[in-house]
Amino acid sequence: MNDNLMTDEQREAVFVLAETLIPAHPGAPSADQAGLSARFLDEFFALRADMLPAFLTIVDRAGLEDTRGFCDRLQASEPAAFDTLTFVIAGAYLLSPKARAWLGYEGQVGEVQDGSPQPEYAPGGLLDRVRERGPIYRATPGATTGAS
Amino acid sequence: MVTDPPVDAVIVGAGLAGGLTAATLARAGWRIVCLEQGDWPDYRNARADHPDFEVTADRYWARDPNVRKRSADYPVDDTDSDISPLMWNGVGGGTVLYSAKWHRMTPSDFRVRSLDGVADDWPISYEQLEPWYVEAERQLGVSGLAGDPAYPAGEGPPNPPVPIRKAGRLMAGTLNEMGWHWWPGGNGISTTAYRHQKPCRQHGTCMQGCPEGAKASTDITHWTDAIADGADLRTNSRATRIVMDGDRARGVEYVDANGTLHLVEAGHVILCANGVGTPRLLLLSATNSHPDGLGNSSGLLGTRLMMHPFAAVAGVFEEDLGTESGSWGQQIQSMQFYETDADRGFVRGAKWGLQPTGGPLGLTRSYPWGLSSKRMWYESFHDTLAARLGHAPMWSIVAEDLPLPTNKVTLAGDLTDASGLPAPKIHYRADANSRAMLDWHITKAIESFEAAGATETVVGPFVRASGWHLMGTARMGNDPASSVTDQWGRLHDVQNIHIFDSSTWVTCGGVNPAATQAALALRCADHLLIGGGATS
Repeated sequence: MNDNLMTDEQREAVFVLAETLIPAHPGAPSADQAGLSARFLDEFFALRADMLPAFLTIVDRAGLEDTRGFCDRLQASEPAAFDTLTFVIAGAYLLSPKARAWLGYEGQVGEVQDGSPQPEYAPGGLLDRVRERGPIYRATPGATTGAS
Repeated sequence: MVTDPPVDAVIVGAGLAGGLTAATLARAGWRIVCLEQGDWPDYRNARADHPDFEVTADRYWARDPNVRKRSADYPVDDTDSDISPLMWNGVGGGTVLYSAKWHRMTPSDFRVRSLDGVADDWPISYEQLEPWYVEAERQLGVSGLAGDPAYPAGEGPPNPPVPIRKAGRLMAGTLNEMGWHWWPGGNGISTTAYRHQKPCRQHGTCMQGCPEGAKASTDITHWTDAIADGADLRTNSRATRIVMDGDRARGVEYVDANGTLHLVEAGHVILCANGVGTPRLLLLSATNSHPDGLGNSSGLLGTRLMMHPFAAVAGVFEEDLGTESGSWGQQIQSMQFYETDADRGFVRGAKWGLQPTGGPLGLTRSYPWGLSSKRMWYESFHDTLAARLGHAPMWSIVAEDLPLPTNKVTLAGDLTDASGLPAPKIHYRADANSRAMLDWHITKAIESFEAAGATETVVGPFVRASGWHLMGTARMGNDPASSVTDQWGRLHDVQNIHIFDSSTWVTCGGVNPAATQAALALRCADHLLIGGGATS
């Protein structure tokens, strides 16, 4: 944990905010259970130090009581600030392998493809209906080719 | 000031139009200098294969220059605009960040006045541009399928379509049942190993740095070859004005990364700086003989700005449709409601593209999810997120806006870039036709998802941060009194200044513009070659 990142009071406020936004849920980790405060908040800001000042400005306003009310008011009156707050909290949460395992999310792993023919586009496939309906464009007036 | 050796042509901007133009002219033996205010994209920041992808994606690949604020960027005063212009100032230009949805405009797009009684006809037709559409698709490794009944018959792109995936298959079958048009998605994304491009691996990260080199951005597809053919690409070089000598341009003045002022003398000046940057430079180049900016005797320079109002509709399904990834891009497209139908209460139309919605962090964001009936946070967090991840295809809706004289680019009075040059100011209001069109299309897109069995549909309405497409601010035409350039992009007022980017568009269609921008650049460059002009 980086002691220089924020004060103990700020860390406590982040803990409460995170548990409010992402509380415990059957079968799924809360923010704290995913290790947000212990590890992944620091990892987040190691990647996105540019977001720290704006985030701390919001945290400093939150306090430790009625954090849900604070979040509701922030979302209603300052949506951009709420977006910043939740981007950091959800972003740090989703860096956690526990959170990703719960979601079954392995990252943007993609899928190899090689441009092989797709049966949907071959005769007898899904495109037959579209082809059967014929052209739908409006032709250039006076052009010798076109649909209508 | 340093006066550099003269060349045949100086190009301003190394994006889509600039890249294709430079490659064409350099291949023909022209001596070319291209001034690019930014640098090469750094693909070490393309983090699709890393767990931090979603956290870091917008750190480097931010799309709004007012957010990015790099030295290569100029600020844009968009306080008087419904839409914020987006761009990438660097080699490859907007193609570095675009989603690469690839569509030709249709024949009717070139005849809007004749067919619908609004706006103006282009001085060229679809049929005249068609050979260059084919050539652009060949050069850029476009994937798709010929035979789309939304277009005249003709040659298709060189690569087969991206995989349709579960979501595309579901919606294609649904549209078949509804009797609505769809077609395999056209994409500037290679599905095979094609020239400099590799096959797409469907990470779904096209707009935050393609990690494969599969996307058709000109830093990959064109600039390596253009430089090998002798093109002199000068990065971190900001054009400050076009210098005139009598009734012709002498060249372009620019400031390099060290702050040194240069003059590149050239037989031709070719502007490829997008629909905001190009009119800005012409306005900045005003002289006593051209007090309202170069090429502005018609008074139209900067006006008729079009930006394609945009909306999105997502459907959430019980079935896992794999929508966390997939080419982005589009799996399928629909132009069922593209052509005008007067009964709808507006003219012109829009195109839909079915695309993934990406990883979990994006699914917590306010756009397009802010209007969902399902609460995102608190005790709903896990259920809502799990319901969306992989289960939510999205229609992106690109709507045509009409060229209004009040939508325009001017120079800001008190905002300047790092070089002290006045920033552009955007004046843009989406008119009633655009808003009615988007509302109508949103309703129909919802209808399609509901027919497919979606448990929820979520509308991302008209959104401010969507100004990817910057068009129309120096329209082409045959009459110098009512247009800025001729059909070849040559200024009516100054015979050796040309515009090869989308500033010259008369109308903008309702499709993503890269195909038409590329085809026009190739057509104009070929015409310049035929006409000669190389001094070497």
